[in-house]
Amino acid sequence: MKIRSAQGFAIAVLAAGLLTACGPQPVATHDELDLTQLLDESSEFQRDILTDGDVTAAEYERALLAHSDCVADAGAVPGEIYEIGNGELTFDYEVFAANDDARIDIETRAERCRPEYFEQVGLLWAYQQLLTPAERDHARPRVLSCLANTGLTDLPDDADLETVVSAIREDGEVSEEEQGCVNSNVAFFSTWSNDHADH
Amino acid sequence: MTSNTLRSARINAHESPRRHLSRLMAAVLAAAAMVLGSALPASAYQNNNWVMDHDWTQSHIYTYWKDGTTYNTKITVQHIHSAPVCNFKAKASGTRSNGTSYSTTFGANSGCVALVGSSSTAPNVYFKAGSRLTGRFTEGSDVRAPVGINV
Repeated sequence: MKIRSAQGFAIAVLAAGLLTACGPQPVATHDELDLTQLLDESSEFQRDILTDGDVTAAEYERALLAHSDCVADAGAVPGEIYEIGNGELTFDYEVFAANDDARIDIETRAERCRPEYFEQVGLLWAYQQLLTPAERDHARPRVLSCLANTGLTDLPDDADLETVVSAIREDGEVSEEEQGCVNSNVAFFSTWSNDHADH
Repeated sequence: MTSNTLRSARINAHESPRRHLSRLMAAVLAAAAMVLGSALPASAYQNNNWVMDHDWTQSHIYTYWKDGTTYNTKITVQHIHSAPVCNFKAKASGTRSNGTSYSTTFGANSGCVALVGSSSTAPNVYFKAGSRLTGRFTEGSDVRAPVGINV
């Protein structure tokens, strides 16, 4: 869903925030986020937001808009903000330039914006959105039903995330239909891994 | 395509010649991408901190079509990776038909997703025949995979 106005943005952020507020913090199904490490890696702008260990919807909005403004100032063309699943918002951006060197110069400036204004705020926000075990149980039937329509009919009713993902990967590819199930149930497929930076 | 059709297609996949053809095409595309990717000068991948990582398995489709007077380029990226992908974004860049340079950075998320797929459609951006698009995946701060294909 494209978000075309500040009001729409606020509603989307509020809705995402309510998801967080409605349940306890996630437990046991994924790694715990290391807030100290996150703060160490943060810019001053983001550290002000992260110091209390929580990202509110308003803070998330402020960081994302600052990121978008920075990208525009760099000479790139940011698109509309849209939902990408798991309560997260994002935007794409394009660069038009006379030649490759000029394009790379703009990209270089634009890519400095995310670590400056948004990266760690986005990480903590995404972590806050993770489903609790109970919420995951609630979401599971819809996911399994979607996957059954792609032919994955042998999954047990209580299949955990690892089992579901293994079944999708089993034939070495993710079909367009399977990817559609993932994209329409991103929260179910979202997790947290502290190892990701080391891959 | 209806759900039933999809279901039938998947259930019959193991015996389907179409499935074998699909896999063959995927393999050819992957091989072509690797050849094209490795043929690029090193500097092509030293833009900012986007670097190569051949450990990723990924598929990619570039679709180009004309809708009325609008030319569209659709770039789809997908990966199959043994671990969740965090802090993902994708970028594709290339030379437009008028010789100018273009890139799109899309599908950025912050969290960790077990399977990632993303696509971007760039209206009024079409690329000169024979030009090469390069695309990259990114995870965290230092993991990328190259994509290169002729359009």
